[in-house]
Amino acid sequence: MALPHQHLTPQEVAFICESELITIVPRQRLGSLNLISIDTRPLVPPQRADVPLWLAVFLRKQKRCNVVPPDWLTVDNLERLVKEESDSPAFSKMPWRWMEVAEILLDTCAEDLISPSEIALHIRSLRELRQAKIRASLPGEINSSYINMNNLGLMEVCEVRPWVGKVVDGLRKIEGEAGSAAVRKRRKEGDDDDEDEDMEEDY
Amino acid sequence: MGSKYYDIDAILTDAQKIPCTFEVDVPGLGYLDGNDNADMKAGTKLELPIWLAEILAVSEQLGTETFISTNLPHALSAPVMNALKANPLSVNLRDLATHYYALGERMVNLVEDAEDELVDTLSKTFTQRTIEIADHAVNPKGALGEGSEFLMGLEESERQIFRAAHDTAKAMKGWRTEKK
Repeated sequence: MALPHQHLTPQEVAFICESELITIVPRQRLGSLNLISIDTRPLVPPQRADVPLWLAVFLRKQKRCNVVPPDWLTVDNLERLVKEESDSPAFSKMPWRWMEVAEILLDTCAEDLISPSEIALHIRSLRELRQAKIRASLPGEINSSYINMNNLGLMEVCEVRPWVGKVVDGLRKIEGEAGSAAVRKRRKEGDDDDEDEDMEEDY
Repeated sequence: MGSKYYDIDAILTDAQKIPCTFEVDVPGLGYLDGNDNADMKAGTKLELPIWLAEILAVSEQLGTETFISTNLPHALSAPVMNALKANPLSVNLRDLATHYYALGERMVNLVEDAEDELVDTLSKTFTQRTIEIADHAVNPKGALGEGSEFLMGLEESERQIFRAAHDTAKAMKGWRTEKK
């Protein structure tokens, strides 16, 4: 409890996401950069290059590059995903950091996306559909050992983890201590063993 | 205890009182029952805090003679359990005990005839209520809106869950709007 919060905040999740690689088309030459995580290739327009997202955003703000949006962040693909999401009871397969990437790209380089307002709309409906799904599946999923929800993104996991974690903890306390008959028996045997050891020490 | 030593919720749980019956005469302990300088008679019933009852009843579990026998408090009695089974959301747990589930957890260890059914009822109640709590935390319906009565009846660990869910939803909203 040294830190004020134990879970990743949305800002932290977005920060981590910024080290993902993204493709850009540079507008200016730039030599190789020796970053801690990666050595970037020299940027030579108009050759595409992969750089960390934060660098792409940085260069984009100075109008030194254009960002190539990832394959999945297109109106067609998102339309398909929204349909899939509303048709199927399971979560559709999204990139692990879909929410953060979409949010950052829509924020900083909307001009590089094709019809950003439509993309934003689809991202929003995807999020709402998936949130409703999380809410609907929780009553059946919560138990004291694990929760099974596949294909959630990191941001979505971080959104439910703080309180769901507490619920699971609470359940474990309520159920675990009382336990089934087997648990109680084992605990009793453990106590007896301890006693034997104490007696041996006395002798 | 261990990591719970400085945990204020564990301390407050320990201070909750449960009904006990003395099994033997104890000289000089009458002041617990309000009789100064008197002995505690066997068969006396009174409420003792868990930390004391636990120590006096500890031999109970080993099957030897014991100072006191412990009973389930009202909060965990059959009528309350039946009400929880009927509708977990309608019971005001805070009025029954501020650390309701922790009390249940301790009592299950302490009282011999606290059976698995109690545990099952508690865990079902907890699950159903917490999901409702998270709904309220994420979609507030106003301080005076529906559900405020339910939220007043939350016990301590439920309040913490409400807070966690509310804080996350708020942080999420903050992040989504901060750059625009």
